[in-house]
Amino acid sequence: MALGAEPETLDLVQFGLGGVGRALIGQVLAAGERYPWLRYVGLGDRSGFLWRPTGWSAGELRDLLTAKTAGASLRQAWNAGPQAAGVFIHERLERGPAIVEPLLTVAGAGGLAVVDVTAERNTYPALLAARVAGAHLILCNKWPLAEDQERYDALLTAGTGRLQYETTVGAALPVLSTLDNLLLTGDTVQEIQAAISGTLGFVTSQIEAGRPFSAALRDAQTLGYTEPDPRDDLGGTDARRKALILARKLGMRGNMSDIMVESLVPPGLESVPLTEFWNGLRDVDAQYAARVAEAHAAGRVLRFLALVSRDGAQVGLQAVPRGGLAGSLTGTESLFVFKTARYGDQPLAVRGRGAGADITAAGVLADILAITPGRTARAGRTGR
Amino acid sequence: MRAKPVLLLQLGLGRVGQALVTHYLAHGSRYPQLRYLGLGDHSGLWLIADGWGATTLSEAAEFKQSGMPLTRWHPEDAHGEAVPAPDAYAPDLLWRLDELGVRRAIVVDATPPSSNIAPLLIELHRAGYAVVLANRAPLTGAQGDYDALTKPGKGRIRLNAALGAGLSLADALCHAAAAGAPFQATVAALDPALGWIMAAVQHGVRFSEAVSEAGRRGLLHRDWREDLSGATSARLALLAARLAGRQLEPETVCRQALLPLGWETQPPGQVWARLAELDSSLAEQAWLAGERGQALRYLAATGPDRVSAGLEAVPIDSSFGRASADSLIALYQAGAVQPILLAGPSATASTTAAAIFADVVSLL
Repeated sequence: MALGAEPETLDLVQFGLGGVGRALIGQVLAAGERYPWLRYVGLGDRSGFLWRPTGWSAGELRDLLTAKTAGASLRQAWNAGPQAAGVFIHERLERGPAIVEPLLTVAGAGGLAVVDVTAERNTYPALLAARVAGAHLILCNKWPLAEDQERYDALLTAGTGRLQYETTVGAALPVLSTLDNLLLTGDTVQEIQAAISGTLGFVTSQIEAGRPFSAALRDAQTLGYTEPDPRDDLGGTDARRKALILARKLGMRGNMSDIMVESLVPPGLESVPLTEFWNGLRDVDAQYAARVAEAHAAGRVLRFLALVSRDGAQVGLQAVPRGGLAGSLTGTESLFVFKTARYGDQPLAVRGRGAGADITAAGVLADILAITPGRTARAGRTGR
Repeated sequence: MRAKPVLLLQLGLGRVGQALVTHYLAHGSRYPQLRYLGLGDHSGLWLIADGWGATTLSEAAEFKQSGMPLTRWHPEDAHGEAVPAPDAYAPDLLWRLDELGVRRAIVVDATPPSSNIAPLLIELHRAGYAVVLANRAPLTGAQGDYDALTKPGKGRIRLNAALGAGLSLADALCHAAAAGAPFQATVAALDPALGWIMAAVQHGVRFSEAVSEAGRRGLLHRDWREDLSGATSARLALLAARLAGRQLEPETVCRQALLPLGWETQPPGQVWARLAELDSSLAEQAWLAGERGQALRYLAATGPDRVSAGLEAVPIDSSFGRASADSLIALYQAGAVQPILLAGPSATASTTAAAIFADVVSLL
């Protein structure tokens, strides 16, 4: 975007009212006086889509948030409140363009930003329609970026709006911005070593400490780190999507299926009932204990890591030096090590626990504000 | 459609400035809209309103590398104007630019801290020029000057190169503050000289020898008292605190100098000759820390109540305990159990130039 070419008002359309989505609305409301040009005009959840071209007041948004937090769907909240508070479109996210077209005809597309904070696979058509019409797009949802190459290319190249997705990898950690800075200034990123699964990071930390694999996974579930079916984590789907996003940034052409992932779901337990899975899991405890012992004997520790380059990506368990960056990880920590031509033997590294609804939402808000860098700076802060 | 040209005015042609020219020549073709308008060193400024070609830019940089002041150089195939110092660095420069029909440009400050360039930058910023800083001095003076440079005005400002170079620390601090979730505290090891010296002392090298070796490795500032007094680290802490939203004056930063009281103002040669007097004290402190499983590191820290620069004992197997001359920053978010850690090699002329270039292209 050229210097000075910023919209007077940035209308926000948000898909997703889960933990991150609600936290984001809360943060926009809290920062309302500082960023008066941000205005919510559309909200969507699984029940449908609510929009109001003139935007909602802070009070109306708070009422909607209260209803959602109490467990109501958007449709129920709309039914219970004054109908003047918006038009409810009985369309679900998978209906694609139908849910954004009404808004695109009313709002100037250059002043519209669509924010996807869902974890849904079906938002792509709506997002593409918004991009084609010139809207800006902010993604916290990884799925649209994990589409097959052709669809990915279409999303990236459509329209004239900006596309921001810092929180899709590393959540609140400055991972993609660091990578962008390297690439924009002509550095060659040879490889990214990344611990990108907090859940599997926790499990490997536990088995390193002597806990049986099955018990470590139980601990992770008790602490709320896993999906209800932990095979969703062990299969590495989430890690695969993040690795694909990073690899594509480096220039890889390919799809999810091209990312090599070592699944930690024991063979034969992939599709059995959950109880049977838990019972069968104990049978592999000894195997993992042996892998840990083998690594220790070589002065190494096991970590679940992704190795990403422009040629592709591999995700799985690796034995790494105990005193190294990856070897010193604990619990659910994430790590991204950028090995580049410019930095040679001393790579750049970003490490921390970036997840959590509030700090992820803060990362999404930073992406939104990056669309209006001049106004944001003039509102009292330095930076983009 | 061709993008509208964006003009670049580079002030400062020392090691970082020369590296920036080299970087632009290597990678500038990716951004064809970006054109040099001016190039300056301590002697003054050359302005070529219709843009510098690559050859002209190379010739100017080579001339400067030969040790000659830039205003003694004359371009062979371009029409330009040399503005000698001090006029080149006075607010009157705005009139010169206006006469050339220039009302928007990106101004890069790669001048040394002693250049006293803040008044010019403030005027340029007010007038709508974007400013990219590698020089920390204009940002670490009085709070009023910092406010004037960063808050009002139509121009934008970028300063990653002034704080942690390739780590984009300024962006991380600004984005968190802008999103209403500023980092509550930061701890940073960003002075490569002090990092290397304290790691060497921990391994049994005498302090005075470690300082000499740091000098041989090019880690010390030209005035090495800047490092040993902790002034560099204190300024980094001050800037980090300001970027996180704090308002404070430089004198409120608690600074622990490695040099005893009064040494900082003595002639450098005299202080250098007395460095060995500090060997036993620092060796003892390092030994005591080691006995407790800790290592002494010189850290810049910001917190809700205090901004400081000084020696701290940290666990020897922690990230800071393992760090040497490399850069390391820990950012603490409210309520987070562990910090976000950003790590990388220490800032060099080349990495600082790359950080400036990243800031410049972010403004396109």
